[in-house]
Amino acid sequence: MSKVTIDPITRLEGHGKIEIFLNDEGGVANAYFQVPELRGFERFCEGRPVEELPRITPRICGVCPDAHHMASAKACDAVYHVDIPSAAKKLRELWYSAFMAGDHATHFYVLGGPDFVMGPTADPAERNILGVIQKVGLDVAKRVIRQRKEAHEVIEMLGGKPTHPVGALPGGLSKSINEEERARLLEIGQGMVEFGQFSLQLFGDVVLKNPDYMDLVMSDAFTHRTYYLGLMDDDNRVNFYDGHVRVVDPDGREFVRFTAPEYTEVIAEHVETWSYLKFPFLKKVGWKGLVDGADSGVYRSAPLARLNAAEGMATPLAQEAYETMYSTFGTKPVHQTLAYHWARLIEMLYAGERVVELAQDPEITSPEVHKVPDATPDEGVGMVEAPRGLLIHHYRTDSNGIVERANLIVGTTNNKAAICMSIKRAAEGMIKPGKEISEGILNIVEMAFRAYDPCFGCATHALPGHMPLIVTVRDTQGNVLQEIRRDG
Amino acid sequence: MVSEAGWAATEPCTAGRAGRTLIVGLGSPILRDDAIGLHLVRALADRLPVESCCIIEAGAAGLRLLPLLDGWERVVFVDALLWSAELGGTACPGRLHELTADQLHSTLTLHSSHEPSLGDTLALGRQVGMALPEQVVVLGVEVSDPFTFDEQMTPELTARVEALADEIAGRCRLSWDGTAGPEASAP
Repeated sequence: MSKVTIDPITRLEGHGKIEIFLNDEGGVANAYFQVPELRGFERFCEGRPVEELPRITPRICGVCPDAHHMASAKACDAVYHVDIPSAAKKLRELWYSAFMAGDHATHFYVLGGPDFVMGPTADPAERNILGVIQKVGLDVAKRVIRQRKEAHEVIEMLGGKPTHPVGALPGGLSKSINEEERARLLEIGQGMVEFGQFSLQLFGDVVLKNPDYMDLVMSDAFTHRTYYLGLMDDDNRVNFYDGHVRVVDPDGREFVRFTAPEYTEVIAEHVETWSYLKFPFLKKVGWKGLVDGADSGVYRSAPLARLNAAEGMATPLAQEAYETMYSTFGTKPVHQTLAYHWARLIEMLYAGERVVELAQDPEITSPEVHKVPDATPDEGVGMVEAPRGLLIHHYRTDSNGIVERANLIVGTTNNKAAICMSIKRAAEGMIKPGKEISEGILNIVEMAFRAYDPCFGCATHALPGHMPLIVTVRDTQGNVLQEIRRDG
Repeated sequence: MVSEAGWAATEPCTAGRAGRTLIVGLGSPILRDDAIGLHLVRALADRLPVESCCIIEAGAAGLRLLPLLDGWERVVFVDALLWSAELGGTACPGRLHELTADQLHSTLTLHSSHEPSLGDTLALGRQVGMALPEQVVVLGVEVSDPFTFDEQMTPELTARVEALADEIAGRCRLSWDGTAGPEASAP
């Protein structure tokens, strides 16, 4: 069997190695994504007071510290059996929505978007944020920078620090906000709504109106029929901070719903000998390998999966954009992987609208933002939707709140199986028996990846990207037949 | 005194940015050798005059860093680094490298692939009119294990902190006023 190696992936957090195995005829037999392991996190947590974990877990990596902080604080609430004050829930959700708006903007304009705005075949030297600015104007750069800066301003205001926040405690938040702060939050939220609308307009202009891009979006190379899941409110509308998880089957029918403590009844983790990272799957369906369809327990998570699993968005402009997306595809669920980018922008708009809504909530300036936990701590699960998928923190402590066991399922891990499948599908389109493998495989495989916005910083931790991208094709004896390389 | 990124109100960072140097220690405090940048800037706080510089810790790259850089005369980043062939020789944990822009991909925090590269970040900031430092120095310290959860660095690296801090302080003073600091020590 021949082996193709792509190592590593540019613009992807963490170091990943792609192995593409060819069959005797020269077609693609399998594709695997391998990442190194982040060692000893559970052991590191054991023996520590559980209330330290909301400050420790954000340090796993610098990409989405807020998601870990929030999931961890929620897990601590559960460990201490405390129902936090309503104003604290709203402030946490406001803060978290601002974080999502900033993170999604970065992905679209810096990571995933350049492929679309500059075109998938553009020179890699131009397929970056600077190329995007050249094409769509300097004002966009100012807006992206502002979105990130203001997201961090919100995080600093409510979380104490912009990068590794500390503000969420077991029982609520460490501080409330005053009227002046509320007014500023409202102003920031309104800016995020405007930018969300602008970004969807830009996506419409450069992608939806370009038949070549739409062919790519619709192609089999980027399509998988899988289960989808996401965190929902009581009306089955997307919620990043709280609610129940709804799972839909590949035809969009509700398959199961579960609350945080029930996750182990629904999700199991499959272990492969070639990967340190486990593959979560739906227990009731079972692990059938890296395949899609209703008989395979593989599910997808993150923006498109959230929208597919939901019945709508909770805010008016995002709901409008949601309806436009599904009417464009004409089906629900949408199985086209590249629609993740579109879904991400709809979520970015929703996040901004949610900041505005919550900043106008009469309760938001209430001083009642913390309830001192008084129950004996034991075990608890916290769940949020991270930008890159459902994030679960599960802690068990002794009666003094000292951690005995910690388990994390991080956003990207949910999509591990789907990412492998997407790489295989994309490679199948590019590798044909008897034909030389062209440089185009680098772009197409990268695009398959980036749609998921994967981050292995906390899934495993890893070397950063922007390194040379190398495809090595070997014969059955391991001799190098061909090497395709692009320096990072 | 070392402040964490974002604690803008904490002295000495309020002393004004013009004509002064921002020194940024990068890394995660819980990933063994990844913390070297943080340990070094803490050690620098006793070695450099407050009127010349502001020392902060951060665990981020790209657009997360951009607002911090506005208005300073110079910026010095101190980050953990994994040896790669282009650095020459063989791996030597504890060795200090002054990096060029195309060597940053082996740094552990500064070169996040979920953010624009340092070069793109600075270009972006300048294009939109931010007053970013003309002089940007990246100091990378070779490390052996930045992947294991641990609050302690490897003993070999811990033993190098004082000497490395002397060397970095010397380089900083040299670039500010031409006054040579203590002799650079060999690893």
